[in-house]
Amino acid sequence: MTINSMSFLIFFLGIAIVYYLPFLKKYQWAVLLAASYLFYFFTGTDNFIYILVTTVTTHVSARMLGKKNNQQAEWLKVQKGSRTKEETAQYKARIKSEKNRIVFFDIVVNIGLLIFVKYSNFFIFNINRILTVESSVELKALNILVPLGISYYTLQSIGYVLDVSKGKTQPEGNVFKTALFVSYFPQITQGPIGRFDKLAPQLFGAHGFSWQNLSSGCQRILWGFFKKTVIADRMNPFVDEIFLNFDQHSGFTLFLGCVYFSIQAYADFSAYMDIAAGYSQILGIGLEENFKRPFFSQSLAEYWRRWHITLSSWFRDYLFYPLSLSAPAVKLSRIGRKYLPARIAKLVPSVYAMFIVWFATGFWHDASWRYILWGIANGTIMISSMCLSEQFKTWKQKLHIREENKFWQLFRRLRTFLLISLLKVFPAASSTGNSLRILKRIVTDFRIEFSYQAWFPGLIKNYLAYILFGLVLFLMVSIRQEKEHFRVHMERKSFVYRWCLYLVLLCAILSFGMFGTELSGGFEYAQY
Amino acid sequence: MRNIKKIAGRLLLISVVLVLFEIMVEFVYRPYNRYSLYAIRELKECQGEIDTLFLGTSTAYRGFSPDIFDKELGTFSYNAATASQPIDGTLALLKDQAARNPIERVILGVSQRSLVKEEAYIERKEEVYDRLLSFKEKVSYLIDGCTSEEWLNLIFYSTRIEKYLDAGQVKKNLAYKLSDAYKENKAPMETYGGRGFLAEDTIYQGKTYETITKGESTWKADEDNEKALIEIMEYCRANDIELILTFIPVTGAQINSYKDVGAIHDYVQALADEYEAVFWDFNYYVRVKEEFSNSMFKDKKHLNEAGGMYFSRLFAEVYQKYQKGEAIEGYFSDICPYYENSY
Repeated sequence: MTINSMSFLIFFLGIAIVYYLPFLKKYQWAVLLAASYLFYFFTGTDNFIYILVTTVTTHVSARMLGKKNNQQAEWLKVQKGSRTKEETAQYKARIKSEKNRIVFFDIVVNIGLLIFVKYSNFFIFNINRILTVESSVELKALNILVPLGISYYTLQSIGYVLDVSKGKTQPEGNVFKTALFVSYFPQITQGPIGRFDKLAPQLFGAHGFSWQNLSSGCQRILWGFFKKTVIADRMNPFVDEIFLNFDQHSGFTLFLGCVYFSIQAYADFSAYMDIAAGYSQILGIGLEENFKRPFFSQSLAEYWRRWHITLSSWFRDYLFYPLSLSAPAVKLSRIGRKYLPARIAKLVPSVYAMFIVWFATGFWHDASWRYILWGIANGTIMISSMCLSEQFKTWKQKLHIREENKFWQLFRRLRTFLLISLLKVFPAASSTGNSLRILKRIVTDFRIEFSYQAWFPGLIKNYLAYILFGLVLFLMVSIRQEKEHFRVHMERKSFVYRWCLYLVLLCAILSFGMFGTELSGGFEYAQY
Repeated sequence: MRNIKKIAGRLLLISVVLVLFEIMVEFVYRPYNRYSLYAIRELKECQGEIDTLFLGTSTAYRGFSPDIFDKELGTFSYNAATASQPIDGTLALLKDQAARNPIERVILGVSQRSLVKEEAYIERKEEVYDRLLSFKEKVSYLIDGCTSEEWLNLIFYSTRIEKYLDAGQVKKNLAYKLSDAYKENKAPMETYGGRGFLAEDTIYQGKTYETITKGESTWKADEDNEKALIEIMEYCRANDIELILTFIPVTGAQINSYKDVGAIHDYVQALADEYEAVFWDFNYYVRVKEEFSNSMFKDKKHLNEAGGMYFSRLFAEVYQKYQKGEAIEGYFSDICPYYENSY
């Protein structure tokens, strides 16, 4: 049961009716928990154990950390005036070390589980490649089914524990409420990766039925379905065709394939977010935004602030900052100051942290070398542009380029988009070897062609018209959203205008969307 | 209460627009030159009168001419067979028609392929769904016979159209559908023989077989299909409907591709015996080789116009004798005549 299926719609309608029953208002969170576990149950009962372990360890760790925080606060209060600075420092260090042990335990268990289910076979495969060079010994691959959404709920749970550890948030006392936070059904398969302080009060609080929530939720769902069926699923077959038969296409077509994949992936992933956020909105729970029109970004760094925002911010807050302030980073910085110019030496901790973060980002997406390469490539470009930023400034001054110049901004947007698309060669290809082969072909066999087959291989002309219709509409809405929230824009319009637009969109989904095939259904990001 | 009214109002608006949109799209885009368009309209017109229902796959809608059957037996029959009709679809069609007509007999053209196939293509389900006239049966077919991913395709005709921009086809559709011939439900193609019967005059030019050496049988019916077939038999028994299971003649070339036609025959025979249904296998018809030569077929397994009409008469003849209580054993051999020499 995927979130864009009819069965989910029916499931959700049932849940929403029960959720808004007046006498259950106090127990709405319990309805959500039951719905989440029911939804999870439909995806396979074998997976339950993993989410239960994560829930229990997260709950226990958070509670223990909360106790440590309270213990420290109590001690500081009681001992006020009678303790020396050294005693305070010693006490704090002891508590910190105890808290670190708890956090370490939680991370080891949860990341350990993630590694076990998602990465075991990757390690086994690579060990075998090394072993078979010298001997015939071979480790057997494990037959494990990766639990739905484990990459997402693991990060969300760890984020919560780290927040409690830092005293940013109070631990939840009810284990069932923690279970809901970990497993909330609209977001479990593909995120967004929620923060406890924002999500939990909404999940655990009571919500009265609101027409506004229903209306805006339905609007988002409708828009999500449009992107999913008219753009993403329609593009899927021919994008697949390009990458599966890459040896039959020129470098030019393959490069276009990367561009198409980039658009398709965005339409697919953002469609999921709209549908998930829409359903959640109907229940009165606002999910965090994961996209802010990333293709309007003027640099790769900006792109990552607009694309998969909750993942980027998770890595920023829980990995990048701690790493750049860590002892090895400080040490590296000291060494850098000896050998490098001051401006560059200053960047050493960031470079060190960034490299690890991008390696982790790539690895988080998938247990394969192509994703690791994709992460490293992203990191390398960003590190390079960070190191060369002064140089760029000088060049721009010499060339009299003004930042606010529209053409310059357009050029930067186009450059960033093409760069992002080119990097998509790694996720788009079926293997690391193929991604490198495709890349090689793009570089060595790039000649612009003007035939339909070169531009849109295997795509029926009618479908192209549907896709173009979808993309033009998508672009128009995105341009409008850059100026103001589309919902605000719509609210100013008359009832007739709004409803005409909704109904046209609904009819367009039915007419131009893709349904009933294997291609339509799942979401690409659910595999991560 | 205010919210409920508001929601109901919006839902009504959406429903009305969708219904109007679907009617418009179907009128404009459903090809005017497909026999199913006319067959469905006829089916609606015949409601309340049908006493004999033909069901099954493409061999059945090319094999049974309701016109001939009615002339020979004085029945009011309709051929609701569809291409590769899924057996659960057959059951749904049977229930749907039995609730709206005084059905006395059902003649089910069983096909080897439909018994084996695990999952039917969506196009095949669409043909069944379009022929279901009651809301209840439509809903239960959606739930029991289809996956939720297929629901939209079945419910909304607009989701089935691939070429919205084919102006030429739209022009042709509109030109015919706005004509008097369409109002009178006259199909533009000569191949449509009325009440669901399709009659093509093409002649199969393939290899002619006299005898066939049996191959190794690996034939096995799909479990769900078997369940649906049993349900059909039980339904007929419970509702006092006479059920005749039959294999419609196919060419020797097709028999050869089955490897072991005996296994399929024995399987259906055993089921029919168990559930008190009648089973006539016309591939076991004593003169199948002589009377159903290649000239009676349009391809390996489908009867052409001459074949369909000839078979309808033959079937009516056998049925008439059976109804009168006369012996019909002489029509059928114990073994498939194509295999005769190899035994």
